Amino acid sequence: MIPWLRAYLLAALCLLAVGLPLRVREDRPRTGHPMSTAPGSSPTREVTSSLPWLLPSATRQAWLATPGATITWRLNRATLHLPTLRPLPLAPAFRVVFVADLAPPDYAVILEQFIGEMEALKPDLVLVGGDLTYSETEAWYAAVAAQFLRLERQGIPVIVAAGNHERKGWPLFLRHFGHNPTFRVDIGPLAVLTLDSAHGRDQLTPSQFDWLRDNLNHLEGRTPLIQIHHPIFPPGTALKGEGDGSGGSLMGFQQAFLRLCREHRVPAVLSGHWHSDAVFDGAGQLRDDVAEFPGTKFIVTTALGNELRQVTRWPHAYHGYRVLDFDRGRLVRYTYDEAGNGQPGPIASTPLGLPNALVRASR
Amino acid sequence: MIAIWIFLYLEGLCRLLAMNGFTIRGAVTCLVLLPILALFIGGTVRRRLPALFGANVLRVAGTLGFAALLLLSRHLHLAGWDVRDAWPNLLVATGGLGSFWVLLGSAEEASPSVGHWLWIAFWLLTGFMDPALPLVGAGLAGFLTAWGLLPRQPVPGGGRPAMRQLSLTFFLVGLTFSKAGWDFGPRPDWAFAGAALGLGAALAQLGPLHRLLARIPDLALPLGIGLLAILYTPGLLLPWGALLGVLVALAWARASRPFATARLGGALLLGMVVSFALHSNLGLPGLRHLLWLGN
Repeated sequence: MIPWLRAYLLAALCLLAVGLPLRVREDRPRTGHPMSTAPGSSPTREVTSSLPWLLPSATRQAWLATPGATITWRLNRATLHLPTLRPLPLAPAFRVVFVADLAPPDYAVILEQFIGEMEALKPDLVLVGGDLTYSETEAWYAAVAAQFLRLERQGIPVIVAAGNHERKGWPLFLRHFGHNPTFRVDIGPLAVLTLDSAHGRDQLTPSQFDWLRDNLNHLEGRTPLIQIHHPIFPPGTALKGEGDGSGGSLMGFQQAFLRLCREHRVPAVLSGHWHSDAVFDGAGQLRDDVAEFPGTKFIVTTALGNELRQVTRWPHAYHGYRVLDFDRGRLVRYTYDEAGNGQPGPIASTPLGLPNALVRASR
Repeated sequence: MIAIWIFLYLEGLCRLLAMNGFTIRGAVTCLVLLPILALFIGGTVRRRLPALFGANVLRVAGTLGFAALLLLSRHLHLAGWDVRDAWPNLLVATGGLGSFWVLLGSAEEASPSVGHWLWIAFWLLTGFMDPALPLVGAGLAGFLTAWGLLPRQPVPGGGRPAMRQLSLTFFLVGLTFSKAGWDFGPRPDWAFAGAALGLGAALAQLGPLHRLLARIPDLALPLGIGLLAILYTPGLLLPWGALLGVLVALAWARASRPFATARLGGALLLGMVVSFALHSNLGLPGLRHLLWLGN
C-alpha cells in the first residue's frame, strides 16, 4: 500500500509541475467562436485551465464580477454561465453570409476583397465553412484569423467550421480557432450548429451526431441552421465532372442526419468542399429547376478563392459566397438573382465582386 | 510495467499523433517513431548487449525518460502538438526510449495487479485534462520501476498455459480501444473510456469475480473484444470501457510468460493503425454500417 501511496503522491506532484503556474486557454469567445447573443439565450464563456477546479485569480474575479454569473466545472474545463439575455422582439430581417474554401496565400488579395465586401454588405453573421488556409504555416493562419478579427471588431460575428484541409495543419487550426470544432451559437433568430465532418474523413461520428440531436431537441423556438464542410449528398445522377476529386460527401450517419433535418424542419444545411455550387432537396435530387421547394435545402457553395471545379451538371463556375436572408427566422432567399428580374433563380451563389444591387437590396 | 507502457505511452502516442495529424516530413518527424522501432528491436538489443541494462543504466534511462515526458506534457499542455517542431519530438522520443529501456531491463512480471490497472485508469483519466498527460504516467512508472519503488508481481509458477489467439486478441484490443478516440476527436471525453477500461480491468482482478471470470473460455475473449468494436456507442461509454477492461485483463492474464512484448505490443499497435485506416474510409462498401453502430 505504501509504495502505491508514494507513487500517487508523485503523480499529484507531476500534475502540479505541468499545471503551475496556473494558466488558462480561452475556448469561447475567441476568433471564429463567438458567444451566443440572441435575446433569451444563455451566453457562456469557456476556458480550459491548466489544473482541475482552479482558475487564476484574475480570471475568477473578472468572471464573478458579473451579477448572477455562475461557474460550472468538468475537471479542468470551466464554463461561466452569464445571466440569460432578456427576450426582446427581434428585427425581422437577418442576413447571413456563408463562405468556404478560402484563398491560399498566393491569392491573399481575394480574401482581402471578401473582407472588404463584407464591410460594405454588413451582414449580421458570417459563417466560414472550412478549408480556410490551404497552407499549414503559422503566418498564414495568423493572417486569416486577423482578417476575421477585422470583421468581428466591426460587430460582424464570424463562426468558423473545420474542413478537411484543416487536418493538415490541425494544431494551427486549434490554436487560432479554438479546440472545440463542434459548437452552437444562438444569434438573432438562429441556432447555428457547427459540425466537423472532416473528423475522420467525410463523416460524422456517433458522439457528434448525438450532440446534434440533443441540440435540435433544445432549440427553444430558434431556427436551426447547420454548417458542415462536406456536402450531405453525392452528385448522384447530376454528376458531371469531378466526382472523385472534391466530389466527396457525408459518409457517417447520413441517413440519420437527414431524418433529423426533416423532423426538426431545418431550413438549410450549408456546405462547401466541392468548389462548386449545388442545391439538393431531402431526396438527394439536384434542384436546378427552382429555388423554392419544400423541406430542407442542402446547399453547397462555390469556393471563395481556390480553384473552381464542376461537380454537377450546374454549368456556372465563379468565385463567390452565399447570402442567406431570413425574415422572422424564415429563410426567404439563398440564391443570387442572376437574371436581375427580382425572381430568385436556382442554386447560384453570389459572385465575388459584390453586386451593387445586393448592397441596395432591401432586407 | 508492460501494460502501463503499452496503454499509457504507446497508445497515448498514437492518439496524439492521430489527433494532431502526423505525416513524415524530414528527420525531425521521424524522431517520434524511434520508440516504436525500439518496441520491435529492443528484445534483440537486450539479449546481445546485456551490459546496457545494468541497474545504474536503468536508473539513468528511467530518470531521463520521466523528465522528458514531464517536460513534453508541460510543453504541450493547453497548446497542442505541431509534429514539425523538433523539441517535443525529441522529448517524446527520449521519454519513450527511456521508459522502454527500463521495461526491457526489468525482470519478468506476472500480469498487472489491481494497483497497476488503477494506475492506468488514473493516468488515462488525466487525458481529459490534456492528451499528453497519460505519457507522464508511463514515464513516472518507468522512473519508479528503475529505482525499485513500484510494486512488482513476480511470475507465479505453474500457471495455466497461454491462450492461443493472443496476437489476434491484442490486435482487436488496439482496434477496439481506439474507437472512443476516433469518435470524440479533439473533445476529451474519450478519457472516460480509458479510465473505465482501467477500472474494469482492476475489478476483474478482485477475488470472487476473478475466479468466476477465469471460467470464460479463451475464444470468448477475441470474440467479445471484437463485438465491442461493433457495439461501441458514446451513450454507454463507461460500461463499454469497463467491459473492455475486464476482457483485456483476462487476455493479459492468459498471455505467455515471458510476455512477448514485441509481438503482442506490435499486434496492439497494428490494431490501432488498422482502426484508424478503417474509420477514415467509410466509403468502402458495407464498412460504415459495421464500424459505427446506427450508421
